[in-house]
Amino acid sequence: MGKHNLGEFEEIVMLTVAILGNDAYGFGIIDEMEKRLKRSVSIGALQQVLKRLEQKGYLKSELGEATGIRGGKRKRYFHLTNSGKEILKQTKEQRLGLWNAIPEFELKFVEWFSS
Amino acid sequence: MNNPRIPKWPFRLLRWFCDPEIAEDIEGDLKERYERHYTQKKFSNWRLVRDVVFLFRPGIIRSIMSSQNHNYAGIMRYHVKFALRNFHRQKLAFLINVIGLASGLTCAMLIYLWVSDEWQVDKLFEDDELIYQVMMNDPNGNSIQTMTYTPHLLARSLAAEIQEVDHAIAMIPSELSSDFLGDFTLTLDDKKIKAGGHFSESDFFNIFSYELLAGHADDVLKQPNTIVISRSLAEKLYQEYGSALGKSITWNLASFNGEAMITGVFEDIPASSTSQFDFVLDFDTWYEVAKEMQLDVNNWGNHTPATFVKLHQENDVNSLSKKLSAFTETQPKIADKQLLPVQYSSLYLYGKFKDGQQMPGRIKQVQTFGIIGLLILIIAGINFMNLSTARASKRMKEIGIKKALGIRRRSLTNQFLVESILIVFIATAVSLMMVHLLLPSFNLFTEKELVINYDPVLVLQLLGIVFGIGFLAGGYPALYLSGLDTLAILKNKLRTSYGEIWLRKGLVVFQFLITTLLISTALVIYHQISYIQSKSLGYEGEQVIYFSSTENIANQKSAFYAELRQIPGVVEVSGMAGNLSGIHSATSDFSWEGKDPEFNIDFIQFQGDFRLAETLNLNLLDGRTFSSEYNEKRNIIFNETAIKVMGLKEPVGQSIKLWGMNYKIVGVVQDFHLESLYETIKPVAMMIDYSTLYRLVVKLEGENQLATINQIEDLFQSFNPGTSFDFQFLDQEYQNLYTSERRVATLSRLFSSLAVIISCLGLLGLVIFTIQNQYKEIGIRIIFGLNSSGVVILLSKSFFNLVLIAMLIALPLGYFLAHGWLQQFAYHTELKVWMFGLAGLISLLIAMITIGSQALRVAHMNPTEAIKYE
Repeated sequence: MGKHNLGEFEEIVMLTVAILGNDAYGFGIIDEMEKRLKRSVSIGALQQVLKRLEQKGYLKSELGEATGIRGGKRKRYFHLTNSGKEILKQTKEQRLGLWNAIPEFELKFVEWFSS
Repeated sequence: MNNPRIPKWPFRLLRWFCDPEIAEDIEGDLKERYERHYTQKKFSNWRLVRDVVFLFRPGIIRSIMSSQNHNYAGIMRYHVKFALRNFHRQKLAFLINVIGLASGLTCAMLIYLWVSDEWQVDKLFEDDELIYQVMMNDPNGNSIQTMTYTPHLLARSLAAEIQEVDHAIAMIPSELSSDFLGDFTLTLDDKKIKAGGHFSESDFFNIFSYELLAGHADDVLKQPNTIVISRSLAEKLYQEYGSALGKSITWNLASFNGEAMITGVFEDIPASSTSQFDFVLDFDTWYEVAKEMQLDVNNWGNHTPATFVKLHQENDVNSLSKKLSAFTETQPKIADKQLLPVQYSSLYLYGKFKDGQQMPGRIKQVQTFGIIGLLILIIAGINFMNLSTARASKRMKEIGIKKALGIRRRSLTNQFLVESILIVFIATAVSLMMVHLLLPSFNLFTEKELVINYDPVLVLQLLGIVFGIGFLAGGYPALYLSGLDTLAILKNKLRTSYGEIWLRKGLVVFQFLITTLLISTALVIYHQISYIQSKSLGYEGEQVIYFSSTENIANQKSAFYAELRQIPGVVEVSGMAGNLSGIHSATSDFSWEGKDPEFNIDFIQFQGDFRLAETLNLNLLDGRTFSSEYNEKRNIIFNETAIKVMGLKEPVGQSIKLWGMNYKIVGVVQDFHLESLYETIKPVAMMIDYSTLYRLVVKLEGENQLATINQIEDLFQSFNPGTSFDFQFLDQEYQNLYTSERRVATLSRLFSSLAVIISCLGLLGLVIFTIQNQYKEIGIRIIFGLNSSGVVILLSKSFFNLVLIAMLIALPLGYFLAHGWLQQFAYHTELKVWMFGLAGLISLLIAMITIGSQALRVAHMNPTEAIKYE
């Protein structure tokens, strides 16, 4: 994977982190994704992606305060780094560029076909 | 809110494999999700487990290396170096470990090679799961007898009438023809070669896929008077096997002979086939022989050939069985019998039949040795583990200092593991060398051609052994010692824990239990074998030789006999049909006065010439033996058992019916063994065979046997120019029945001595270790006046108790096992208490010598040195 390409799952995770703002931690992200996308996400898959994104420098994390509800375990909060925000923007533009390049009748055809 | 319902072990698992840096927040996530699922009643436990299992991913599981920051190879090198230095420092312990492990491994490897070879026997054919031998169950009184031999017409009828059958053949195996008719001789010009061969039908090579070097499986035996020969036979006859095709050779079997054209050459039969033969003659040729023997091949009541079928599909065998039972009903002569299809490749290991069912046979022996191999490996492993723990606890100080210096626990664990894996690795290498050295003699002994193939599977298995034993034996000291409290070690406040002592004692007991068990069984087996060898069989075997008759001898029988009797040193000569300790023909057609019509028992037919009873030295109890002065055509001699079975009083002179004709009893002989001692003596009817006798038995004088045999050979050759003279002693033939038992006896002796050695090595190691621990104490005691015997008693008491406990368990267990083993012999030696006493004594004695020698060494030490020790 080149530097300017995000996987589908990576993209969704980063978007969710962005949505959650200061409250993005492991289970919170899963919860949000499940709510918005109706898609069940395993903790393992998420942790792996979070770790990878952190290594690429798109995310940063720090441990928060201990809370009672998690059996005294601390949460690890994630937020986007500048380069993370940058790559999200780039991804969005790429997608939009692609959408705009579709001739109209074919788009309709696609919409009809998928409806 | 720490929820009490939440299962703990998934978290433990997680903490074990998860990178500690991220474990905490993942654990939090898991708990939160569990709460959510729990409140939603969504199989929360199951989902938790699934979540944890799915966390097994790169990036999440911790790195296998102890620390990513360290240079792992460097640490390894350090561990190895340290281990080697340790071995050097404790040479004796190292040697004991390596020798013990290596001998255990060697033995286990040899057994493994043997066992896996046994599994391969007769599985050499393509589709071996489709090849069946059709056996015949004959209900005979209370029992069902399973017969190998079937009617001549069976194979063809099966092929024609049963659609599941792809190919079917009848076969006269070489063992059958050689037992009854002697050896084949093949002649080409002036070359005469003795060989063994089958008679079989054209589909032989379609069923048994032996490799054909020349000719095609579909047509090699199609025509009458055709033969397919082995490569080595072809090379013997024609130098080069390619030129054999299309040539004719003469074959000779007892008084029968003929010409056959070579239509094919097969590659020599591999050792993994139980059926060994040099050629196959076509079945029409057999029909010619049978005609001359006045054998009615169209009679469904006559059973001679073996029948083999090959099925189309594997699952056809059930429908085949059903159809076979319907099939027998269509043939009145076999209507009371059942046909039993038995997978051919299973016969080698499951070759016994009881009540018409296939039973485990040789597989028992294979399993027993497998278990023995495993036990020896376990003993060796226990030794190793015991010694490593004992040694490791000596190194507590070292551990304490290392821990105080801040070496991680993981690093300590690794060091112990590296040490123990290294020892196992060295031992494995040593044992591989041993196996290579021993394999030739082992092969000679087991009559196999075992080789070690270093294929990836074997290498993986070896690595498995190295790491498996290494981890098991090194794991305990590694985990236990590295987890000890640093301060306690350094302040010398640690005492060896009771658990550890008990474990070590328990293992010593277990070890000696197995050793004593092996010794006692070896003793019992040895006794049974010597019982078999010394048991009077009721006939003379030692001074009697036998050899196959030939056509020339049969034609000039009286001349040959006369000349044979002239040879000084020849006491008695007779002809004999069949062999003494192999296949016999039997009949249940006898009837006598007062016979219950329901009573059905087989009488063995034992046929020979007039002087057979004298030649074998059978003991005459009543009446007379056969004599050429009378016409003995309708006269019979019975053995004691037969008379008992019939319930006859004053049997001699009485008349008896066989096949509707009257026979007269002229004599009764004492029982003698015609079968192995696994079988009880059966009723035997001796009769004169006026047709050609296929075997000659000659009783020799006790002295100058070699000269006598040489003269017999000269005589034989003058009658049969160019034919080699092959003879055997009768007792040798009998001994051959017990080849596998003798092998078991030798192996069990070998293994039990090995077990003794390994156990003693273990004991030796432990004793030395204990002595070292108590060195100072003993020194002080000696100064205060303890004498040598006192020292020995002090040191050996606890070990003796262990050995005694082991024996208390082992001896009854050994008695039980030995009793079971002996039951399979109809005639067996009695179990005596002294056998087990002796086994116990041997164990004790060996333990005593091991312990005593070390204790004595300490007893004679200079006490001042002991006090300076440490």
